[in-house]
Amino acid sequence: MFRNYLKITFRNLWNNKSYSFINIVGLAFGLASCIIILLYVNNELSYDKHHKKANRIARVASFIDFSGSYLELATTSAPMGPTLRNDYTEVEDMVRFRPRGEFLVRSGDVNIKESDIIFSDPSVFNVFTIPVIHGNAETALLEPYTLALSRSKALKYFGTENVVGKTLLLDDDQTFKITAVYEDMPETSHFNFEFLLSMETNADEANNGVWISNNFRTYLLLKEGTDLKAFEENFKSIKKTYIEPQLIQFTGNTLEDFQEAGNSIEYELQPLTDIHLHSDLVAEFEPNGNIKYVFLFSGLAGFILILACINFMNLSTARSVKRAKEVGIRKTLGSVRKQLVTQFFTESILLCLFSFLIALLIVELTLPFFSNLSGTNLVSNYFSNTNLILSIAGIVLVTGLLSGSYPAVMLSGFQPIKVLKGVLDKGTSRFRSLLVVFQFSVSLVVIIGLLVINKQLNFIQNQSLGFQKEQTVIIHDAYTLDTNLNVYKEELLKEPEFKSATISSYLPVSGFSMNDQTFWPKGDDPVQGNTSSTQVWRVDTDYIPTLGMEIIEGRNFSEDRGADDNTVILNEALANRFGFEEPLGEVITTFTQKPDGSFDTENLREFTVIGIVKNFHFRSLRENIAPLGLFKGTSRGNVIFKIDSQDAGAALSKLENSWKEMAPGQPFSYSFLDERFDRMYRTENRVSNLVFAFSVLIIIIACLGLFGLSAYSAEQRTKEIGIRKVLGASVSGIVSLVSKDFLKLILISFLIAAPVGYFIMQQWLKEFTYKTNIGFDVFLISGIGIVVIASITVSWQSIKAALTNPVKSLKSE
Amino acid sequence: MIQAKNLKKVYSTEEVETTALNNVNIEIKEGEFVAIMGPSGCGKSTLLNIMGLLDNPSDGEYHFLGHDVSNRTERERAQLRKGNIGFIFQSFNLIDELTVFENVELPLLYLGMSADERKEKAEAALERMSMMHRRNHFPQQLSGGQQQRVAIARAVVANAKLILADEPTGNLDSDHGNEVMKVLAELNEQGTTIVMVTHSPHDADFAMRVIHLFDGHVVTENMQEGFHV
Repeated sequence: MFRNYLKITFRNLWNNKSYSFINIVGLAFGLASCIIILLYVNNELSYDKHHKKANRIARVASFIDFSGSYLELATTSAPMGPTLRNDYTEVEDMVRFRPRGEFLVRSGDVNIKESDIIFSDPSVFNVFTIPVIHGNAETALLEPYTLALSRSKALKYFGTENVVGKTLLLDDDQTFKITAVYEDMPETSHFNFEFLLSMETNADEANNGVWISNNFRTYLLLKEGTDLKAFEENFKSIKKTYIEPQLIQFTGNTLEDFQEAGNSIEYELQPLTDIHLHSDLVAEFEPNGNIKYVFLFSGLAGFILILACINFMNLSTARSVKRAKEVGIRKTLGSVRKQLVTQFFTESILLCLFSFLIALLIVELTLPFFSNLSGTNLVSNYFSNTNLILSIAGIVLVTGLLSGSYPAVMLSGFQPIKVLKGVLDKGTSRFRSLLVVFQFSVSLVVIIGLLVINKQLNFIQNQSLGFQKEQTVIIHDAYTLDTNLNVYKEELLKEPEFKSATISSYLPVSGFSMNDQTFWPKGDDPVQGNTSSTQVWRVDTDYIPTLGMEIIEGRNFSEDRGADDNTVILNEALANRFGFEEPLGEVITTFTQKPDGSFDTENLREFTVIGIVKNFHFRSLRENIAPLGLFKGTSRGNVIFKIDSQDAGAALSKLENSWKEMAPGQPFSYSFLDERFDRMYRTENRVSNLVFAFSVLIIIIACLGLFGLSAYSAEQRTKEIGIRKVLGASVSGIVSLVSKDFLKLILISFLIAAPVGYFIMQQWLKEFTYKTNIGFDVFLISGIGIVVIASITVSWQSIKAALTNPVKSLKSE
Repeated sequence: MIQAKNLKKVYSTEEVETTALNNVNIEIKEGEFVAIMGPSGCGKSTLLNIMGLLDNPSDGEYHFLGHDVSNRTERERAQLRKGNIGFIFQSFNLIDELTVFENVELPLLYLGMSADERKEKAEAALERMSMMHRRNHFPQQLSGGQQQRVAIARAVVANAKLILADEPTGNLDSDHGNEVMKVLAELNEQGTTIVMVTHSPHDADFAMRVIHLFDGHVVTENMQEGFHV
C-alpha cells in the first residue's frame, strides 16, 4: 500500500511539474530560512557553554550610583574576587581579568599591535575550559612577566606551536616568558583572548585592596549546588566589613550617610551563560548579542514556516479538483477515509523531505551571505548538537504534518458520487481566504517594520550631530610618534589636502577614551548637593574647529602656552545641569585623584567657564547627551585631520609616508570618523539587512500562496467565466472580476497589519532617545507596494482564465 | 441478492426539495442481468448509487446479501462494498497516474492481499479481458474501449458478486460498445450479477430484465424473451 502511495506521489509530481516546482521550491525556501535562523539562534544560545563548569561560573557586576552618575559595570574592584574566595565557602575559585589596552608584541622583526591581550589570574585554566596544549596549566601564570598565548598566535609569531620557554617583547620594553600555549578560544565565547599575561606582573594594582575603584572583571567558580540569588544576598555584608572603612577614609561618610545622600553600591552575580544575550553593561569585553533579536528572528522563522505551509495547503487544494477523482475512485473501490488521510500525509511528508534536501543545498549556498549579514560566523555543523538535529527533524515533520493536514482532511472528505460527477463543495473557500489574509498581514507587518527600521537609520545618519563627521580621518596610536607628534601634524598641515588637525584621545564616537569625573559648582557640598558626573576631555585649541563643533557662547581656548589651563568649555547639557544662567565666568570644582586612582578629598581643583559648546552626540543616539566638559590639555591618542580634497587616497598615502619616516617600525593605522559613526549602529544595520532578506522571502512565499489561490479560483470559476464570455463580457472585465476578490483580501490584511505594525515598531523606537516618527508614508508605501505585487501575481491567472475559449470550458462542465 | 422496499431519496438544498426516488420496490436475484432505463433525471443513477452502497436512501429498506444496509455509516458501507461490488462507469474512472496493472490491483490492496496474490489475480483479470499486453501502459495511452475493459477487469478482479455499470458504453463508439457488452454478457454467464443503467435499447437487449424508471417510479418491468431466471 505504501508503495502505491509513493508511486502516486512521484507520478503526480512528475505530471504536474510547474505545480510541484512551486510547491517544493516554496517549501524549500521556507525551510531553508528556518534552518538558517535556527543556526543563528543556536549559535547565539551556545555562547560560553563549552566551559565544562559553565553552570557554576558567575561574573560579579557592580551597580554604582554616586553623586548623580549611575554606572552599570561589568567590572568590580580588585579585592572583590580574592575576598569572596577567602571568606565564603560557596566560592571554590575565582579569576580576575584586567585589560590594559593594546600592546605591541615583538618577536624578532615582527612587531604587531595586539588588542586581545589581558592580565589574568593563574586560576583562569581551572575556572574556564581553555585546553592547554603545551606547558603546565597549573603553574603557567604564577610568575610575573610570564604569558600564555593561543595556538594561532604561536604559529603567527614563531611558525610553530610548541613555543614554551621562548620570549616575547611587549611595547618594546617588557620581556615576557611564554609558559603555555592553549587552543584558540571558540567564537562563541564572550571573551576572546589571544594573550594572557600573568596578573603578578600587575601585582601593584591587583593587590592594592582599594574597594571603590572598579577595574577588574571578576568571575567566580561556585561550589556545586550553590544558590546564586541566596549567595548574592549573603555576600552583601562585605559592604559593611570592607567598603565602609574606605568610604570613611576617602569621603568622611559612613555607608549610611552615603546611602542617605541618594548614593548606592550594589553587586550582582551574572550566570556565565547569560552574559552574551542578557548583559549590556559598561566595559563588556565586546558588544554582546541581544536576546530580543533572538526572539525576533525565531518569530520570523516561525512565521516563514507557517506561511510556507499555508502555501502548500493552498496549492494542494487548488489542485483538489484533479485529485478529487482519484479520491472518488479509491473510495468506490473500498478505501476508508483513514487510508486516504494516511495517503495524503505520506505525500506531504515526502514532499517536505524533498524540499528539505533542496533547503540544505540553499543553506549551504547562502550561509556565507547570511554570516556576513548577521556579522556572526554561521556554520552548518548539524551534527555538533543533538538539540539542533532534533529541532530540524522536528521542523521537517511538523511542516509535513501541518501542510498536509488541510488537504488530507479536505480531500479525504469528498463524497465519491459527487466528485465522480464533478460536483465540488465550495464551502472551504472562506477558509482559504482566511489563510491568505493571514499571510499578507504577516508580510505587511514585516514590510512596515523594515520601512521603519530604515527610516530610523536614515534619520540617525542625517541627524544634526553637533559635529562634522565627513572627510575626517583619525590616525590611531599617535603617541608612538613620541616627540615627532607635533612635527607630524605641522608638516602635514603644509600639504594642500589637509585643512586642519588636532591631537586628542577623545572622539565623539564609540571605541575611544571616555573619562568620567564628578564636578559641582564652586561652594556646593559634593556629597549632598548639586553634582554632575561629567565627561572630562582633554583637547587642544584646534579640536573644536577641526571637528566642526560650534561655540554658542564665549570663546575657544587661547593658543598661548600656559593660558587657559584652569578653564573649561561646557556643553549645553552640563550648563543646564548646574542651572547656570550666565555661565561665562562661573567656576566648577572637582576632586583630585591620588596615584592609586582613589579620590583625594583634601585637594580640590577649580575651573572657570570660558565658553559653551553646542551639544554634540558622543554616544549612541539611543541615549541622551550627557554632561561634558572640554579642558585644555594634551591627550595623545590620535591625530585627527580634516581633509580638504576629493582624493582621500592621495591624502592617506601622504599620511602613511610621513608616518613611516617619523615612526619607523610602528604600525600605521587609521579610520574615518563617519565609518566609526556608522559602526555604532552596526546592530541596527545588520538587523535591517536580515529583516530585508527575510521579508523579501516572506513576500515571495505569500505571493506563491496567492498565486495558488487565484489558480484555484480560476479553475472553480471556469464555467462562470465561460458563460460570461458567451454573453459578451470583455477580457478586461473578467480580469477585474477575478482580481477584485483578491484585492479585497489584501485590503483586509492591510487593515489588520497597519495597527499591529505601528504598535510593534513604536515599541522598537522607544529604545532611541532621538527617533523618527512612523509617518503616513510608511503605510502608503507598504500598502501600495503590496497591492502592486499582489495584482501582478493574481492577474497572471485571471488573464489566463479570461482568455480561455468559452466553448472549451463549458463543454467540460 | 438485492431487495429494495419503498426506497425513497430526496435531495434538498436550502430552497428546493427534489425527490429522485419515490417508493421504489425492486428485487434482484443472484445471477441476473438487469438493465435500468429511463429518461435523464428519472433517478437511474441515484438508484444505482444506493445499490452500490455509495449512498444511503432517505427512507425505505434496502437489503444487500441479506443485510439491512439502509442506514449504515460510510465506513461500514465501504467494508461491505469491498470485494462484493464492482463498479463500471461511463467515463471509466481509471486513475491516470497508475498503470493498467496498478489500477486493476487497487481493490486488492484495499482488501489487504499479499503482493503475490494480487499479482496472480490482477493478471488473471487482465488475461480475461485480453489486456495483459497493455499491463504497463497508462490509461491515456489506451483507446476508450480498452480503458473500459481495464475498468471491467478492475471491477471483477476481487470476484465481486455484483457489478454495477453506469452507462458503460456511453463514451464508446458502437464497435467498442458492442465489445464491452459482450464481455459483460460473458461475465453474467459465468455467474456474476449485473445491474446496468443505460440509455441504449441495444445494450438493454443484452439484459434478462429491463426496469423502466420515470420520475423516480418504477413504471414497468419487462422480462426479455429467451431469458429465464
